[in-house]
Amino acid sequence: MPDRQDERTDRMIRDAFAATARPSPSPHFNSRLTVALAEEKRRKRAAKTRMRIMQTYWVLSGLAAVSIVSMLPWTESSGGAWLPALVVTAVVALPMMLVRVDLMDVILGSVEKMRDQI
Amino acid sequence: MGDSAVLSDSLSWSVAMAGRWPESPSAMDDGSLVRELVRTGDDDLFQALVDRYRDRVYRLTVSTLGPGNEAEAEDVAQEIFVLVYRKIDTFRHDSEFSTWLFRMARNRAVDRLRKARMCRHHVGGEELRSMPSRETLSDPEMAAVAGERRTAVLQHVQRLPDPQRTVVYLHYWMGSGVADIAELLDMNVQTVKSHLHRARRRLALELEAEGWRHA
Repeated sequence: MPDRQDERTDRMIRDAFAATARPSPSPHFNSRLTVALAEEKRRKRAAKTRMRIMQTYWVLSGLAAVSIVSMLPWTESSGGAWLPALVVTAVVALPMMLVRVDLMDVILGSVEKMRDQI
Repeated sequence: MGDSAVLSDSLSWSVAMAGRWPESPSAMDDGSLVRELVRTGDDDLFQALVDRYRDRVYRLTVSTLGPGNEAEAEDVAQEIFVLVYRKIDTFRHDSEFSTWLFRMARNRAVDRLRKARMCRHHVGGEELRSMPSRETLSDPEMAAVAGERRTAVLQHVQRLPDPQRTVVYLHYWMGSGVADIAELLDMNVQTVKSHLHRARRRLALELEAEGWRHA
């Protein structure tokens, strides 16, 4: 008896969906995807370039900061350790603000890449 | 017309690609195809993956989102392939590529469904009634009853809990077999059968309560 009920319901659902058009991907699916992939490639290239610029910049600015700090005659009266730290921060951070790099984006991007590699 | 254009594209592509790899990309298994794609970054290899999985990914997304969301399901399928392109080098080969792909597609579609439900609960009876139909009955009275019954069934299917609802859509709407559904949803065949059985039992009770028993 339950089997017969199951069959009846099966037939009812089958009838309902037999009368419902079965969708399929549109004929433009591939061309739309090609456009989306081109945009993705452009985004990937831009992110790579931005990352390279940032890495180069961090190395150079780090070296510049160290050399400036080591060349200046620091004394207790000129602020102790705070002043060199401030100079290093300014050298690293200021150009980043000038070139409008989204620091959080870069950091999160690096973390995501590291996570993927793990 | 769409299918023949795609087929003709695929054929010309296969001819053009002959000789670039030891075997034709369409003949490669998923693992080799993915390894070669990661190594070379060749767009044609990616296209081979898209051709292989486009229809199944779409079936999965449209069955998760349900009738009335076909365009959105296609958007999700597009997003999945872009995501695959972005993350293909993170695929570890410790599972089947298809399992990885279908899991991403399912998760993305479920997320989309959750967001859509915050805006609206269900596709209404009017929308279901106006859905494209393949049915043509000459007797207007019979056609009206059949239409009402169809709407009632579709509405109740829509209210089934997931994954029962997706399994029902895949089986009855998309015409997928139990083994195919098991692969798409990463379940075993018995689990799929059990979901189908439970869904039918639930639908029978609900439809009966509305007087559709002898329909």
